[in-house]
Amino acid sequence: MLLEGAAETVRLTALMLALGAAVGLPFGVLHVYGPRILRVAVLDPIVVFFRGIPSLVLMMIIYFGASEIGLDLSGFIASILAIGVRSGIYQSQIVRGAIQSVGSGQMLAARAIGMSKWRAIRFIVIPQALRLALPPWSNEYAGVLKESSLAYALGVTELMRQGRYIVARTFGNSLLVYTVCAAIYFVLVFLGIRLLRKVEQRFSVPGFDAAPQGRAFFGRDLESSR
Amino acid sequence: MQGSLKTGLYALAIGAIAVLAAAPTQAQKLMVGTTADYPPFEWVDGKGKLVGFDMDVMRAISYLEKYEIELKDVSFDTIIPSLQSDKYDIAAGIQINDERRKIIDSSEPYIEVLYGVAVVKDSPENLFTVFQKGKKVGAQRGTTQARWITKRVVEQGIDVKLELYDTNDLGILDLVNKRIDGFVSNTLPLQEFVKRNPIRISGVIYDLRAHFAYLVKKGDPKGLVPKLNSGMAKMKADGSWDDLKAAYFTGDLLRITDCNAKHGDTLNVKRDIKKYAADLKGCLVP
Repeated sequence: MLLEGAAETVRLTALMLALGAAVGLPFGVLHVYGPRILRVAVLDPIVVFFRGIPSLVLMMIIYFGASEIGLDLSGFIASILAIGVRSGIYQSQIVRGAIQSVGSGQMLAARAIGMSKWRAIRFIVIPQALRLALPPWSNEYAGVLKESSLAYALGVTELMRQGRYIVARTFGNSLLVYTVCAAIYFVLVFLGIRLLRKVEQRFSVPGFDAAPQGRAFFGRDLESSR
Repeated sequence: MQGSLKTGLYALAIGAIAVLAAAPTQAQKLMVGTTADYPPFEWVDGKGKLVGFDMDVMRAISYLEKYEIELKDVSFDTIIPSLQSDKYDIAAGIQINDERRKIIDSSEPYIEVLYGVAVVKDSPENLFTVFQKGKKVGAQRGTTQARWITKRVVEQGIDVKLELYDTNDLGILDLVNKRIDGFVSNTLPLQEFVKRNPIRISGVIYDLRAHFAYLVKKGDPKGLVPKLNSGMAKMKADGSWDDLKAAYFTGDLLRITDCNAKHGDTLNVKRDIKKYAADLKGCLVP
């Protein structure tokens, strides 16, 4: 039963992170390269808003708010929307940081060889930025995985809820059951981070890491990131 | 290299959209919400099935009154808001009181429960000493008993500290570890905890009573209250009501998974309620 719960937790986490990435990447790019007015008038307020509201509150607002406007969202969907968008906003900041730490010379060089601004972002900056974003992104993975336990509040039978079922059925194995749940969460986080580490290594470009300004080998970097 | 990274991201995004689009469409049956961690009223057996007194009554009434139901586990805090926002049509396993009557409608109350004070088995504490100066008493958050302790003890100027817990088992754990002196709860679940923990029920608070009922949205837009009442009346008339009560409130609940396996499954409620209730009683009660 706990394993079924763990599977549900993994499903929730995967979808939340995917939604988060789908929101976070465009947001992050717009944040750096979009018009200033967009950043000040739209993006910054959104970021402040989502940073300032606890995920649980957001889940409740989406769950009950949707039914106010006649939309019947299941608890599963509502929690993915809430935590997914919340994570997307955080991920946009990760992407923004990563883009900003790609040397500005990269952009200059790309423009110098005749690429348009968007082509340069698309083929030069983003590929490098995503590599830089992976380590902080694995933090986000661990955070979302653990946060997915909040979905229990909307009646999603994830790992913690399955744990509660067992405690209720056996009348007081609380400590044991919750310890096992903790162990399962730990293993999931541990394995996920190991996997992300592997991905990081797999895509790493030899000799390339967070770029100081005015670095050498422009040409080589351009080649390898194509 | 970069291509595969990109494809991966697209796949993730499309996957997310596909799942969100495939949100379940609203079925034409009544949704029954309950918080399934409250034996003997409702909990989940070893096969992942919702079992308990309320669950069987809900299944039986739906058969007797000819409607379809779907039982769903909901967190306790969201049950009443969920009724009000039409997420669920009926809430099972909840107490009805004057405060709640203002915001929801309900069937006839079907059971009166008493509240006991659990203390550590070898401690000298009793019903009266746990409510004396300097003692710590626990109760489940948001419940009748928690409110009673606040109103009748703490607000009367007695220096007792009320500790609140999300669930009974966490309170019992603190009691066993002697972090609180007494724990107040519904005697029915408390009896089960007594069997499995070094605690005893030191007494029952007769001033504190509560009634369980099946709740529906205020104004009962779907006309469910008469159906619930007539279904319960039919069950009382044919004896299945008393058999279910005996099975769940006096039986050995740890045997529930085996008993359900032995008698087919809970769907049998719908075939022959009387036989199902009698079989379950025979199996659970030693």
